[in-house]
Amino acid sequence: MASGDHPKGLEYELPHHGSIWPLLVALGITAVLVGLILGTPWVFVGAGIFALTGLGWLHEDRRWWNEMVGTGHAPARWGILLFIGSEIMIFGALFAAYFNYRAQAPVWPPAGVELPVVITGIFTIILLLSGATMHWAHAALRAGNKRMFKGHLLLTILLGSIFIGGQIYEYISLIGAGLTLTHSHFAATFYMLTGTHGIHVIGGLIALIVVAYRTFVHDQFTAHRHVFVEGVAIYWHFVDLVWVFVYAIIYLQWF
Amino acid sequence: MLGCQKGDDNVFYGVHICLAPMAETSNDRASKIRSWLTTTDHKKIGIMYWWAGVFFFIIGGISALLVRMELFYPGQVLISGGTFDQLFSLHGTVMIFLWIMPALAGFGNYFVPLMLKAPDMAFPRVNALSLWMIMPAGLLLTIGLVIPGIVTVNVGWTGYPPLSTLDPNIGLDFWLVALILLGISSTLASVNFLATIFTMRAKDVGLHNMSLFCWAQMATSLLLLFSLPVATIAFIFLLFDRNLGTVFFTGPESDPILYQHLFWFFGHPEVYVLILPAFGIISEVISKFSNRPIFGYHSMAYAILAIATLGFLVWAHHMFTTGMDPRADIGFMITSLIIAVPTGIKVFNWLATMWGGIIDIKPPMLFALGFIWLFVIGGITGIMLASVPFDLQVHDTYFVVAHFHYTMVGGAMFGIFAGLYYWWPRMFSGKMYSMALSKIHFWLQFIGFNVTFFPQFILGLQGMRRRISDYVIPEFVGMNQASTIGGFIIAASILAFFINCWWSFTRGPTVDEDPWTGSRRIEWEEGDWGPRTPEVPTATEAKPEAKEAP
Ligand code: HEM
Ligand SMILES: [Cu+2]
Repeated sequence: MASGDHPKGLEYELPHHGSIWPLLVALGITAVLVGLILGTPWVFVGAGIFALTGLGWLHEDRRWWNEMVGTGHAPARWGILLFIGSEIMIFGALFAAYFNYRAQAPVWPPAGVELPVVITGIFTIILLLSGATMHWAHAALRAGNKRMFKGHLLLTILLGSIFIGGQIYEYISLIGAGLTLTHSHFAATFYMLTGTHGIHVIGGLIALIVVAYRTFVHDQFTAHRHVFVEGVAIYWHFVDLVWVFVYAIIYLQWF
Repeated sequence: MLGCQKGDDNVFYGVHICLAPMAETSNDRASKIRSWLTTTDHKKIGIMYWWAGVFFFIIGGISALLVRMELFYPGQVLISGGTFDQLFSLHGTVMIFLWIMPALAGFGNYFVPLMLKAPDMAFPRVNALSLWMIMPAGLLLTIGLVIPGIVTVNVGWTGYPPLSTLDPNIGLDFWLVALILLGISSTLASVNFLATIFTMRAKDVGLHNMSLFCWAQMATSLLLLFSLPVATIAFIFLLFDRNLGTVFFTGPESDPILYQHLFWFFGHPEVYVLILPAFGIISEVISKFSNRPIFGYHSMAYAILAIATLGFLVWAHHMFTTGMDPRADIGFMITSLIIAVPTGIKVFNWLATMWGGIIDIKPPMLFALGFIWLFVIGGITGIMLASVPFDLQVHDTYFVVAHFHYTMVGGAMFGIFAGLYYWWPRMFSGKMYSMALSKIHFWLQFIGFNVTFFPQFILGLQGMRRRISDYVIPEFVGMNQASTIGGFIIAASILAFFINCWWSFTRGPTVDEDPWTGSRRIEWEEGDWGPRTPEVPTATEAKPEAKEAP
């Protein structure tokens, strides 16, 4: 293709670039999953391999995006939106299972099961606040206010971590009170939904930390160059929104 | 170090640049291998998808032949029932997930960016990641074949609980992990294809004038994107039931039917994932070899989207015998019957394209014609199965087996070979294959296919159950023996195909432009014909090569 004849939305040219990391990350993902099957020591081995390969990919990412060129806004934006589409189906399937078991149960939640509605309500507000700070961070970056961007970015990470801390605390106290994974269908679907959500929050936090690293160490983002920040922001809002449903449906039993 | 560095950005097809340093040391085997292991070039990735698919096709094929051999005589003659279970389950899983899907993804990777005049896929490294997850998944699926004490999947490709939670063998956990891996791989690939199709088209390639193959790839990706996560959840629940003591699907208060809903919510879209890209290939081939533009382009494109959309609303036609609410039965029956409408539109448009065209019966066209014939039989028997009273009789009999082989082998696999013989010189060797051998391949495969699977319709109507290693009724013997013989005829046809590959690679005449008559097509004109000859950089590429020399 002649230069100047760019595809729509492709703001940069896209040279080919070899990379060993796709192969290694594929092995890393395999290692995690196989580790989960094989049991305890191997889980950590698998997770370690995955973490190492993931870091390798991220390290190269920085070079790929900084020295090479990006693929532009449009593909990145579509990429994250489509990915979220499949995430919606993940939570949709989990909710489907939840409602299925609820329809079959005589009492729901089972007698004697109390979820900490108020405390988790507070953590819910904290998570929603982190959505607001994320939005402000991105808006500040687009307005060129880097100081405010950095501040709100860190605040978002902090609030997200508090939420995860709250989840861990809640899990510990619930399990202590006897509500284990195998307690009932309610417990199983509760842990699947909140656990899947928690993993997504942790994933979002890791992405935010990557953003922070690239901001503070490499100063990669500007008012005109913020696709990655935008993608992470969209994702973070999605994770927040899912939690609203989880809280309303499971904790408040609104539906 | 790995690939090219900064400074290449003024040359668009950077692939030359990346390969250039390796070209100098092309006899250096290690760097050649490394260039394949580290590539992010959609063409190379497409090629690797394809040959990985062929590798697993051989494994799946051998297991099918063993299954057919066992069924040649009544009684337990060759293998035990347990082995039989492993072989047919492995066969189904491997053929669907590791042969047809990778082969079609190979074509998609190779040709979609060319057809869109895009420099590559939207996310080249993610593309490579999708490819590389196929290999460990394949290993995990087949590991039971080599390690004693580990079984391969032995619960059918559908893996219904409670059966799939009863056997504690770790091989079944590996099977689930493999499916989850393949799910991640396909999800990422779908995001990639969609982002590419939506945003990477050249200015003169619009959604409404791009090749129908791209439309098919788009619909396929949408299907995968929205159906796969649901099956992944079902597989994770199974893993939990098997390993952590949850009772989602097994136990007194559990709900095995929920698994079937989750599985088929994915499973039915999955069958369209297999057939839609084949539809796309067939549309290309029919119009090319009839020397006419495709009849009813827009109706073709929207029929694909309609099939994909309706495909999400029919899943429970696999579950008529589970005692659903009869109103649900009727609903799913009606939606399933409606799918026949857009499918029919496609078939009639293919026929209308040929009508009045100058038809050139080359091997790709032969396979396309075979496709239409066989797929129509598969589709019509699908309609039969979708009617509840009929399905209650033949569910889980060989009638169903015959139906889905007519759609998946007669349909998807004939489509793959149509595409293969059409694009072979462009995609693989830059060389032509032997016309005679490929015609032998076609006729052996076409005849062998019908000899194998048509008798299975009759067996099914007579009441022979699927997935059982033995039968005692004398009336079944003849049809089973025909079926087994047909299976070996198909094997012979595949042998002819491999000989043809070898012939083409070693002594086929070189081809460096579209070898077929008919109007020119983007994917033959666009871009270089790499990576088949990275050793001969042209003048423009030689310059950066000198600069880049390691
Ligand atoms: C006209 C459209 C189609 C209709 C109405 C249809 C209908 C059906 C029905 C009702 C069944 C369930 C039979 C039973 O288990 O009792 C079935 C099974 C199946 N169909 Fe189709 N089908 C259609 C097209 C296709 C296509 C295009 C493919 C694949 C490319 C396909 C692949 C399958 C497979 C794999 C099964 C068996 C799954 C299993 O139980 O292992 N079908 N079909
Ligand atoms: Cu179906």
